[in-house]
Amino acid sequence: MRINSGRTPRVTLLISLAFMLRVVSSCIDPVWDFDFNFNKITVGNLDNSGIYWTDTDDNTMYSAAVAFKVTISDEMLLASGVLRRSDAGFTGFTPVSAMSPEPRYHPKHRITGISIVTLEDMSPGISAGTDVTGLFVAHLPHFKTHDFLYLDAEELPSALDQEFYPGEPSVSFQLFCRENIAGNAAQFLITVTLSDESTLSATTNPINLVRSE
Amino acid sequence: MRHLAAILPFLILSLAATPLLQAQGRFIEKKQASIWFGVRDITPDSLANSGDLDFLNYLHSSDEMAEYQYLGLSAHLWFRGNWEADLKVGMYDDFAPTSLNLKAIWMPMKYLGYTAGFYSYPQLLNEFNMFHRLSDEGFYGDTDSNFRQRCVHETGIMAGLVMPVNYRFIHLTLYMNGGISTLSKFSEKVTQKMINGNMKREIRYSTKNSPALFFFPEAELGLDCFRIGEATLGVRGHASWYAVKRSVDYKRATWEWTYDNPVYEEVDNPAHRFSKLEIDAGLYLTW
Repeated sequence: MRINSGRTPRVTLLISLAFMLRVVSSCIDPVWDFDFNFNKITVGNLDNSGIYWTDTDDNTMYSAAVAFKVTISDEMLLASGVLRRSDAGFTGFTPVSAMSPEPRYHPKHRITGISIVTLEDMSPGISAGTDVTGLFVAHLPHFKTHDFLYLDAEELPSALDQEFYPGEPSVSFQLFCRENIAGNAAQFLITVTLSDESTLSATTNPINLVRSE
Repeated sequence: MRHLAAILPFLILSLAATPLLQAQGRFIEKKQASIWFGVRDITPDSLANSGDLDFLNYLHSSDEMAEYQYLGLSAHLWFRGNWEADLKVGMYDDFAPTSLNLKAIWMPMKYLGYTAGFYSYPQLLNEFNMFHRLSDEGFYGDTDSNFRQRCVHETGIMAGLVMPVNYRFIHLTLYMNGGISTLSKFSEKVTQKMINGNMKREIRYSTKNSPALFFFPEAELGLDCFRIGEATLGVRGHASWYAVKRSVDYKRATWEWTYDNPVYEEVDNPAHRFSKLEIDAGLYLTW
């Protein structure tokens, strides 16, 4: 019996091999895990006079609605753009990539502590330089999303500390002061401590306080 | 599933009325099936607001017209031995058979008998969050911007007298029912935020059982119109009045800022009178 060794079977065999390789490779989970360092902290103002807070550049707040948004991130990784998933179209799609839609960022040093120090007198009993962490509550997006109320600021480190952060190498949270601040100005120093004992600090803008009618 | 459970007794007894079960023919002397359409009007007391939310101030009611319209089906069975069963099922436009009026009747005398049964109907509590919106100054009284509505069921057991009068093609039946009922228990949550301030508050209500005596007279009038073989087709009218005086007490938990250290309170509200008038009309077939 003569085995057919013509061009058509050979081409078919090659295409079949390529197809099988593609099938096998598409079932391999692509790498979506990255290590990163928290090396940047930014603080912005929030307008929390309404039902829901909004970001604002205004440095005037109601004295009972002093609120900030804090973001800690890996500035280098964010700037490099390596975390951006390429939009490779059809050929970039694999069965496994469909199951792994977001990259995961693992911090080299975990968050262990947060402190807030007032740089202005808040009341006769709370002078500038006092640690006022206990006077703040916090909200962490995607953390117990069914809850309406806040977290105590002391609970923030454990709530923020994750084995990995999905999507991008950063995490944000909101801080809200419980006090109706007696003075006309407020400013705070916010410090995040990491597991290697390093700290990231940022100072809020000087805030002008107004009283609610 | 809940609807199926509610309609199951009606289906079982209706099935018993079908000629498929020939053996029942010796047990059931006469059967009647009806379909009707009706209106329901609720008249509640509205008491002045106190420091506590009183849910019964928010029973759905209007001065202009009947609050609810319903479609109903019923079956009446006459058994041997002067026993009867009367089963009525009503439904709103969702076609869920949520209004039930089920009675067993014993007729030791021609014009007087005794009844015992079960009664349940739904009604709405609307915009109870207005209490907080109006009374909690300095706060967004309810941060939930949706229309707040809850369906509650009056459910009770009853007993009473029945007085049937039949003259040629006219059939009049009066029921004098009374019993004990309760409003279904429920839980509600109101979330609040200070205006121009960071403070937030969450209030959760859990109501308690609210048993109360009710009075429930009914009148039914049937007029035979046509005979179709062994069956008689007729028109029917039915009116009923339900009156009760009850309070809705609850346990209230309040959290401020965080979910630590809630404040629990037991609140007893004053009793409200409220009544319900129903009028419906339809067709029946007796065989």
